[in-house]
Amino acid sequence: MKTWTEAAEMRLESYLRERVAREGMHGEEAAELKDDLRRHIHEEITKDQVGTCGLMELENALGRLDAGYQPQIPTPDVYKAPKRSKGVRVFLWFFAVIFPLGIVIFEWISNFCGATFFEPIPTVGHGLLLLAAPLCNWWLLITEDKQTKHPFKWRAVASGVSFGVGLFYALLFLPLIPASCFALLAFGLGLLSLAPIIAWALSWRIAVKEKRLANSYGFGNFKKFWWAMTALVFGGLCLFEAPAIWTRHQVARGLDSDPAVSQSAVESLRSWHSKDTLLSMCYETSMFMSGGDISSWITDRSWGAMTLSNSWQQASNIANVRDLYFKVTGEPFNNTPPPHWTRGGMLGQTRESRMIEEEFDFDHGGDVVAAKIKYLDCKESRFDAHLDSAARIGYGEWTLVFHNGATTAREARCQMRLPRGGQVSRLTLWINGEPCEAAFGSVAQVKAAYKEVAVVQRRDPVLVNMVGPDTIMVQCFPVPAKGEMKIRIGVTAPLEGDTWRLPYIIEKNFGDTPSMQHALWMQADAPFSCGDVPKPSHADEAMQSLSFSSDTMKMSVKLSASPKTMESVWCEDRFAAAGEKILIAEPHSSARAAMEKIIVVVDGSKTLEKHREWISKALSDKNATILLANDRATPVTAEELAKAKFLGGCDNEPALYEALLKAKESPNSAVLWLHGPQPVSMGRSERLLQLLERGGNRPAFYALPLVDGANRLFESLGRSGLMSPAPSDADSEAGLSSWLDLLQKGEETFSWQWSRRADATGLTNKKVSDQLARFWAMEEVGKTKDSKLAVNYQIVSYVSGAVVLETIEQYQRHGLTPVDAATTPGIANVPETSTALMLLFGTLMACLRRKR
Amino acid sequence: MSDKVEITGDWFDNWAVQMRKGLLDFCILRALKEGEWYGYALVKALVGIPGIGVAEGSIYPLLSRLKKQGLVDTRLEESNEGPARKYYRLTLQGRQQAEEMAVYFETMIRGVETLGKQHQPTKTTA
Repeated sequence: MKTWTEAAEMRLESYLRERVAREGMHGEEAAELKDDLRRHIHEEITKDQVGTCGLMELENALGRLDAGYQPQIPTPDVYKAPKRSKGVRVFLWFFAVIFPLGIVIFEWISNFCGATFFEPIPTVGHGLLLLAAPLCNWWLLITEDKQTKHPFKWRAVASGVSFGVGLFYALLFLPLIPASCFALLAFGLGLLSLAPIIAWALSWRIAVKEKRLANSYGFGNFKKFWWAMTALVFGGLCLFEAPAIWTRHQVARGLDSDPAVSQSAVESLRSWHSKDTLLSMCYETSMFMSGGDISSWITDRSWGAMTLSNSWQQASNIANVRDLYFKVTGEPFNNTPPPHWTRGGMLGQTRESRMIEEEFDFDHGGDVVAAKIKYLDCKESRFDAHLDSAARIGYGEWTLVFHNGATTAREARCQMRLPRGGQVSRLTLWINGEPCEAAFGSVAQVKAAYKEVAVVQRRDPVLVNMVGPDTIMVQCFPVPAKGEMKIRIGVTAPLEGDTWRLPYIIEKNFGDTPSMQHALWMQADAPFSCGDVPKPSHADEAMQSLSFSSDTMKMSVKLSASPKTMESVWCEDRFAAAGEKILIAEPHSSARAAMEKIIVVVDGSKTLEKHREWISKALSDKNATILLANDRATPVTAEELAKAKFLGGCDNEPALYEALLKAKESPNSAVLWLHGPQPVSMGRSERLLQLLERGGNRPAFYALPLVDGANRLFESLGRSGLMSPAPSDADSEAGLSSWLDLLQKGEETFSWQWSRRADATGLTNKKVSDQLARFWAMEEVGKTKDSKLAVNYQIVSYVSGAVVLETIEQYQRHGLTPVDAATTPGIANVPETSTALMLLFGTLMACLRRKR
Repeated sequence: MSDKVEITGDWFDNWAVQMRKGLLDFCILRALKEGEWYGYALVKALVGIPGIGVAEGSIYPLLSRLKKQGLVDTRLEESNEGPARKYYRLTLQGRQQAEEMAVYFETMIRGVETLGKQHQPTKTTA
């Protein structure tokens, strides 16, 4: 079908009018003749080869059609634009130019709409487009009487920009019309929200007039340029919001109660999403604390804001949204700094204001670390440790100083990974500059005391609980507004062979100040090296010591000249009953049987993608079954594992269940779980515990966290005591490979065999510190779950916790007693004056005195 | 000499116009008597008749008049190429009129031809 130029179409109509007039026809008869002739001309034009029918083709066809036809240069019927009345001109100037321009500038400065409804100027681009709309109207109006001097092409572009921007914002403000009209009638306010709609309507009016003028001057392409520009601007603004709207829509589907719909949404989001929107939704706890972006206004807040209904539902869904964030991205939502919302701004307040600063901490006093809190930082970190090569025990004290730059008190929360097999044996809080030691009690006791004092009374406590294997949760409140809070955590842990892994934070709700570095002091009774620190320890009187600063605590201390074999040691146990004060530890070796079947479950989450190659290499020559945990249990070979897709945050429970079922088929089998963080309670841990607790074949179950972060499944399985942490050095290709070899071949393991006696008379073996007694208690509590024993030996376990309260009354009300500072463990000073040296010094002084 | 030619031309033109006026209606009805015609094709066929000397655009007013007089009828058929196509056909009255005109025209032609055959040259006197 031929395309006709607008000029040709106009010429044909003009000819037909003239022709029927010439024939003296009117009404239906004239209309019929016009139709007949139009049809004939179309047939004639269709026969031509030219793709477009312009004036030339039409003139030729008309010449054939009409014998008496004299082709004429059409003189355009110049459109005489009716002169607008003064009132209309003033109205147009005010509502299409001055008022919208003023509103945009006002909004940009004050963020009035952003603080109340949604952020209409999220980017500079939006601001410039919003300014362009009234400026285009201004240009069109000011040159209205001089059209011929200004190309219609540019007039069409200007009109299109003005209309496209107006249309987008008019649609956004459409839901506010009823409220605005009511406010306007009742209070004389509300014109601000009507401004975009009025400006858009007037842009349309200006465009209509421009089009008529353009046509009258024979510029038939006005409509094309105008539509193109309108579509470009409107489409561009819509496209900008498309990722956010898509993400919000899919999140809504992801929260559906139907698992099939929810899973489908998760998979869609894994393929494409706006991470900023997803993160923002994790913090949208109520309609007053939402991101306030255009997408949230479009999807659920525009009408919800009017009815005060829909958005409140968000608060109850927030935990599910945070879970969804992990499932989609594979990262805990609080790994990323909170979104920067430009909310809450009014005149005088800069656009840098952050809503999050004013946010209430919904997880205060709870059991999860949850969202990162703005202006709460770790300001100082100091770690002192002493390693005893004879007792094979290390003790470290980690002192942390939190700083709160906000105007309200905050709770600092974090999860720490302790050295393998370690437990907290000391907790100190500085109150008014004085160190106050913790009281140890049952988990229920210390939690109740903390909640009452921290949450209800909002006074000074600190709480430490064990939440998983080698994992503790630390909560302290209040870190005062514009103030600091200082705590110290003591950790007792056995050495792994010759190494001792330092504790480190795996999840936290605070940041670090820019200058923050960990100050480390390590000492041992044998030479050692520490992580990647280039210099080894140096002799320091009777000890070896090393002092350095580091950005990370994730490192291990390795004794380089420790005894190759364990020797019997003893200590004075101050917590033991009379007659059992001397605790003797004798080394005992036992053989662990070779594992017939090893099943390795690899977390298919995105965070483990960077580890897949070395895992694949380490497993390539091993007789092990590999299951990829990608929300399902997918058996793979080592080669397939290297190429597998690691997406989002996957539920590992189905694969672990499958692995345990397979492992239970053999008497000697092991399941090794290589995983990342999973801060979401996705799996059904009871199903797994049932397999671990029941039946004759109980497989050994090891977990190896390869990426830092909280893992709820790891915590709930660990609390049962049926899951063991893998060796710390298994997180590399060589380490994992050699450990799997040991599992397959069997190995000789060493442990302490304990005995007690009333006094140390006749003991020739080495005396060590009372950390040995705490270690004994840690082993006993692990077996017996005896909370009294744990409390007596001042250790934090699955059945006991530690809390520091402010007053004696608070302790008494909860049946707790703070420990005597004299009974707490500590780091011996270096140089430590030995008893022998003291005797020598005493004898020398006595001799000198006698000589005098 | 030239004046004579001009006078002869004008006279012929007038005669031809008078001739065509009546003949064009007959040609249309004659064509439609054989069946339905698409308007554009009918116009092209009519202007193709030697000596008919009419512009394409002039036929549509005639067709319109014939339709108004009830001699032809039309129907529209949608087309992918452009506007709907218009087809013309004779009504019953038109058909009768066409037959009547055909008989009249044939009789008249025969009569005109007979005039030539009946001619007996008269002897001229010196």
